[in-house]
Amino acid sequence: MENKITELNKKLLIEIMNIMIPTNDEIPSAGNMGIYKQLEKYFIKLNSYNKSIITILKSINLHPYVRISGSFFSIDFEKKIEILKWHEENMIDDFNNLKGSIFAIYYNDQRVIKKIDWDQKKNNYKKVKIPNWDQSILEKVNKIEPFWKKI
Amino acid sequence: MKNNEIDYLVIGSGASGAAFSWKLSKNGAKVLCLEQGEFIDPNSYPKNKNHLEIAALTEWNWNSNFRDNKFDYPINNQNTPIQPLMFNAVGGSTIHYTAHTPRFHPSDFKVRTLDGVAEDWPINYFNLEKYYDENDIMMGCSGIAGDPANPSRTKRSYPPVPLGNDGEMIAKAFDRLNWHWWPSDNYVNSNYFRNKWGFIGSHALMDRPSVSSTDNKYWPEAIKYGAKIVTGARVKKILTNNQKRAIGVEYIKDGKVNFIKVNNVVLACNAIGTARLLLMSSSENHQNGLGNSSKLIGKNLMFHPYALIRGSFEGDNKFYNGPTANILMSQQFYETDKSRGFDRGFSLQMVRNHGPALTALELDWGENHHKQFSESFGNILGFSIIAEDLPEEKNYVSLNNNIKDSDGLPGVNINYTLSENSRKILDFAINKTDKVLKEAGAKFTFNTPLMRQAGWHLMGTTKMGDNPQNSVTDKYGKMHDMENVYIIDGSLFVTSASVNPTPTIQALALMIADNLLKNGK
Repeated sequence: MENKITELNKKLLIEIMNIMIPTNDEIPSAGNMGIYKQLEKYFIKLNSYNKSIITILKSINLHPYVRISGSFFSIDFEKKIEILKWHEENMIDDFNNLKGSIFAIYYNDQRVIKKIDWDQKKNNYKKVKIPNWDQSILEKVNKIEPFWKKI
Repeated sequence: MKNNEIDYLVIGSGASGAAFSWKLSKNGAKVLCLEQGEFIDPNSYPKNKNHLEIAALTEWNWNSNFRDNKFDYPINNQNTPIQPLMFNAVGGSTIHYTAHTPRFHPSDFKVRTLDGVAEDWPINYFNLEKYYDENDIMMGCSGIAGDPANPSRTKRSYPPVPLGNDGEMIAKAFDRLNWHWWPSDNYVNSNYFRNKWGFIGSHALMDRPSVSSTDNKYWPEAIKYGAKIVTGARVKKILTNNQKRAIGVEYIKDGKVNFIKVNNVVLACNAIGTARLLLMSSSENHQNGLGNSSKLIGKNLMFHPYALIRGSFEGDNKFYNGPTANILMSQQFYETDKSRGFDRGFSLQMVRNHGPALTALELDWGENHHKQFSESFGNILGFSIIAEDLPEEKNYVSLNNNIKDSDGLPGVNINYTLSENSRKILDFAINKTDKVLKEAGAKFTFNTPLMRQAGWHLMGTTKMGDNPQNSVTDKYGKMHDMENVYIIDGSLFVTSASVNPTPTIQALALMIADNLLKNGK
């Protein structure tokens, strides 16, 4: 199978990204964020993801709605959703790879990180003193008689 | 070490291969291990916790098919609802596991006697007990003795990993229901968490010095005692000179085929890799695969079928702080109760919220996504449900000559169907787990009835037993058909229990090593 994504299919992929992760206030939809290069860098270069993404794009282009109208871009939004849902239900692994790669890149983008308040300096290994192990939490369960089956 | 001085050639350096090599070399045996992967640099684990989520889907993916790593072999997963997960490197899958280390129960070895299903093991819990203890000390176990669901055990090396406020909330919900729970045993140094409590992710990808894997525990000791390890060495075939005796192996390193003569061959490649190698080692005298007169090699593959149930809680809870899993476990429903309509049972293992990307993947895409995300992120807690899988010959591993590894050796097919019994266990468990999450205060719950990327535990493809017609090895891992070929990994399991298998795999390897030291066979 050809492992390069054509310019036309790149546009299709960007459109899918826009549908899967739409605009969120000031954050553009995923396809319009300019994160395609990151998608290429981390995922499209890997055979497994490359194969899945190309398989889904190829299949979308062969869908009857697309063939009738000549292009995914020219069909109704509802039909676009219907096509993607069909792939989600019927080409589970490939669709999950496509979805996984898009979501991983989107949620790794600094604009999104800021938007969802996922500040790594705040959340990552925060210097919070965790109290030592407190045995009292076991008070009730310790009253259960040993119940493992003796044989 | 000259070739003819090798007492034991161990194939695979993971959980079992490392423990076995340590024990034998410590007692003076000449051990050589061939490992198809390489040493992993502890500094190569993702430090940036955002990138962690990309890494978990790419170069650190649990599923070898996604990594594009030349040390892996291809697996055809088209005929299985559960995909096998593994890592090929020095340390094997302990490089990349969550280090959750419960033990089997005594009943797990006697399911035929107790419940009339599957078969009893040819050994019992108490045969393994001292090896469990030995392994816990070598690996460094955090936890606390006294669990009423299990036989008593020795003091753990470290205190339990802190439960956190969320863990205590769940523990109290169990208490109110009068259900069992207990802090999880982990091969993790819990002191690590004293001053670090934030988003950590899975132990599998956290800062590694605190997590025990066999490359950092057993191997340094084994090498000190004289064991050798050759990396990037993929075994192609075990060779025999007659029907009963292996004379050596062919292995490929840097594209070149080498032959090495040995006295004993020890397979430690996990339940898929070991079956693969035995099937690849067919010859005129062993037409169905090496030592396969029982025709059972590759059959009885068991996974642990997993379901995932999540509860959504109100507030700004930050449930992503702390390690994602290995917090506490309930074995309230571990044993068979025929009134439930299925045999055997399950364990519940508490899991926290993932980071943002993996949280998002559990939600809808499209117009509802952002709303769902803002409500869910940091506010989801749940359980993974680990069901006991009973062995069935229709679940098997076979060779696939249409897909090849980087050395041109065949890949494997996984042929697996979820049994009706396992489905019933998971359905019952989802219902019960819903109750505990609601008791803890969840607004609503949602679930994944069967996790696809969850074949962490690979078991059963060369089961042990007393009857050569109905098993592949004896109770000490020696293949019935061979005088000097041993199996020491999860392939030996007769049944699967409903707990993570690593300590049991390692205890078996230590027991087999001990028997060889004492009896020489």
